[in-house]
Amino acid sequence: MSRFYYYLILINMIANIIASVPVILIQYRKNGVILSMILGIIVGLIIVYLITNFFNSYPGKSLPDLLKATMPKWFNIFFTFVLIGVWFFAGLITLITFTILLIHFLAPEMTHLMGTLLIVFFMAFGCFMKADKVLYTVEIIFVLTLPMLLFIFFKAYTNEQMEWDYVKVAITYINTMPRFLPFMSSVFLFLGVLNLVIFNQFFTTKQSIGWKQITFIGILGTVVLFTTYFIPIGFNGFENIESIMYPWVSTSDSMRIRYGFIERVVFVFLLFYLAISCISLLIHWHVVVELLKSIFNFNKLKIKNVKITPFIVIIAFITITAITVILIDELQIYYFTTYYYLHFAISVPSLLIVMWMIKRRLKNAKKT
Amino acid sequence: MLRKLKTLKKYQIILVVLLSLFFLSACSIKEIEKSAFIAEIGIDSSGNSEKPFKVTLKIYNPTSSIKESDSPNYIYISEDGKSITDAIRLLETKVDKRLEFGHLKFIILGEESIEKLQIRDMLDFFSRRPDIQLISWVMIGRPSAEHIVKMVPKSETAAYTSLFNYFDQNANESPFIVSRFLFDFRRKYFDEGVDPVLPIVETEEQEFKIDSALIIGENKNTVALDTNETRIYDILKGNVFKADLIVDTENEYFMIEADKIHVNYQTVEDSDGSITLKVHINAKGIIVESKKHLEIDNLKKYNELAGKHATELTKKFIIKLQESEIDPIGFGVRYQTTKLHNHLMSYEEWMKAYKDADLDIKVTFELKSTGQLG
Repeated sequence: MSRFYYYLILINMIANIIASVPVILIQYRKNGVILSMILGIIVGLIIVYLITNFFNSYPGKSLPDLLKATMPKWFNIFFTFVLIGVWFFAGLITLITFTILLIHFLAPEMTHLMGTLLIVFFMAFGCFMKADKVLYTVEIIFVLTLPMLLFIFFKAYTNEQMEWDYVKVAITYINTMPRFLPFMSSVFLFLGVLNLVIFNQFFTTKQSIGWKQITFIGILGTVVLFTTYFIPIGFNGFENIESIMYPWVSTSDSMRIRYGFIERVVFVFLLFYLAISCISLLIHWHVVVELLKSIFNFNKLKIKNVKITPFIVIIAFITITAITVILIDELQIYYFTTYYYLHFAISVPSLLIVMWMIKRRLKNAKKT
Repeated sequence: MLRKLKTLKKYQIILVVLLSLFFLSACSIKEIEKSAFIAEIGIDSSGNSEKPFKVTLKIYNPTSSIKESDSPNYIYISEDGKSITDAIRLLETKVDKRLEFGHLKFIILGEESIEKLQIRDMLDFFSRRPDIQLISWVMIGRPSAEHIVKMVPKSETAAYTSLFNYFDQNANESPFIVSRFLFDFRRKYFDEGVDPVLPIVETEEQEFKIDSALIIGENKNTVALDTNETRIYDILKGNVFKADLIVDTENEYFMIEADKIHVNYQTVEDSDGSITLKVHINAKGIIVESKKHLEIDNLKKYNELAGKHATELTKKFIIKLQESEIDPIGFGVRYQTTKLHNHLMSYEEWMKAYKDADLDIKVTFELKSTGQLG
C-alpha cells in the first residue's frame, strides 16, 4: 500500500490518544474494557479490510463517482448529505475538544471562541486544497511531529515513576463482560480508513492489501490502544483515575525530562498535538468539501468572475463552529462524542451495504 | 492579466487581515514583569477554626542582573483563609503583580497541617489547577511550613532555590532523601494498597536537613521513619543510586557501598489463606572502609556477614510496618495483581492478613572488591 494510505489510518489513531477515547475507556475500566478493546481491534481490522478492498477494485474513483454511476439521484443526494454530516461532526468534535484542552492549559486567558476561530480560519481555507496537497501537508507535519511524540511515548514507557503494578491490576479485570461504548470507541480508532471515500481519488494505481498489511495495521492499532488506556493508569493509579478530566494531559504533566530544554513535557506534548489535531481536522473537512463539490457545482455561482461558493462554505463552517463553541460545555461535548462513536454502529454497516450494492451493479453492468 | 492581478490583490488583503489576527493574542497576555513567580508554597493550619488554612508564599524578587545581587532575593507573604484559594485571593491584594504558579516547584505541608487539615482538600487544590505542575515536589515542613519557606540557607545562590539540589537527584544523591512528586503522592494517597511517604524537611544552623520521612496511612494514622528506616524504604523502592551498610560483628567492622541494588518483592498466598511477604534483595558493591585488615580471599565470608546483617535490618523495618498496619512499599497493590479481581479478599481482610503475614526476607551481597587496600 502507498504510505499515504497508512497516514490516513495513523492520523485517526494518534489524534484520538489524548481526546475522548481514553476518558471513555477509563470510565469502563471495571466493566469489561479489555475484552471490548480486543473485540474492537478485531472488528476494526475487518472494517479496514473490507473498505480498502472495495476501493482497491476501483482505483482513482471516489465514492461519489461510484454512486453517480450506479445509484438513483435521490439516493445519491440523501446519502452524500449523511456522509457530509458524519465527516463534518468528526472535524467539529476534534476541533472543540482540542481547543478546550489547549486553552485550558496553554492560554487560560483566551476565550474558547477566540481560540477556535484562530484555528478554523486557517483550516477552512486549507480544506480547499487538492487531495494530493492535503496528503503532502499531512506528510510534512507527520515527519515533523511524530519523532517527538514517539520520544515522549518512549519516555512514558521507560519512566521509573510508571507503576506497572497498576497496569497489572487493570488487566485483572479481563473477566468482565464487554460493553458497547468502549467497544465502539476502540473501533473508532480504525475508522481513519473511511477517509478513502474521497482520498481514493489520489490512489490511481492498483494497491494490494493482504495479510501483511492487515497485520501491520493490527499491531499499530494494538500498540496505540494499549498506550491510550494503560499509560494513564500506570501514572495516575487505578482506583481514583476517573476523577481526572484529561487523563493524558495529567500523564504528560507527570513526566519530566530532566535535561530537556523544557522540563515540563505537557507543553511540548500539547503543542505537537495541536499540529496533529489540525491535520486530522484538515483531512475530515477536506472530505466534507469534496462531498459538497459532488452535489453542488462550485463553478456556477460567480460575482464578477470570482467563485463565491467556497466563501459561502467557509462562512458556514465558521458560523456553525462558533455557535457550537459558544453553546456547548465540557459535559455536553463528552456526551456528543459518545453518541458520535455509537452512531458508527449504524452508519458503517449501511456504508458497507451501499458498497456491496455498488459492486453488484457494476458487475452486472459489465456483463450486459 | 489585469483581472488576474485584481483577484490576487483581493486575496492579499484577506491574507493580511487573517495574519493580523495573530496580533490579537497579545491582548490577552500579561507581560512577564507584571507577574510574580512563586517559588514555594507552604500550608499550615492556623489554629483558627473559621479560617483554618494558613498559606505562605515565597516569591522570586526579580533583580536587574544576577551578577549584581550576590544573595538571593525573595518576598514572603502569608495569609489565613477558609480554603487555600480563599487565602490566595487575599494574598493577591498584598502584591502588586499577578501571582504566577507555573514555576512553583515545592509544596511544603506543615507538620501540624497533616493532622489538623484535610489532605484531600490540599491535594484537590494542587491537582485541580492546570498551572501547578504535577511534577512539583511535596514535603513536610518541621516545625511548620512557614519556617521552611522563609528559610534561606547559606549555600543558596541567587535565582536558584537550594531545595532543588536535594530533590533533583542531580546534585545531591543522598539515600536518606525521599523524593516525592505531587502526582505520585496523589495516586498513593487515593489508592488502596499503598501509602504515601513524604520527606520531612528540618533546619539546622541555617541549612536544611532532610533525613527522615513520614508515612501517611489510610485513616490518617501517621508513622514517622527515622534516618535508617528512611534509607531502607528508599532502597526497597529503588529510589537510590548508592547505599551503604555498616557491618559490625565480633571480628569484623567494615562498611559497604552498594551501587547496584536489585529489589524483588512479592506476596505469596498459601493454600490456607495466610500471606507470606517475600522480599529478595541483591546488591553489588565494594568495601569502602574497615577497622581491620581485610583479605580479598575472604570476600565470600564478607558477603555472608553483610547479607545476614542487612536481612536483619530489613526484617526489623518490615515488622515495624506490619505492627503499625501501614504499607508504604505497596504489598497491597502487588497482591491485587496476583489474582483476578473477583477472587481477591476485601481490603479489610487484606490488612489483617498483612499484619499477620509471615516474612521471607533474603539479602544477598556480591562484593566486587575491598577497595584499594587489601
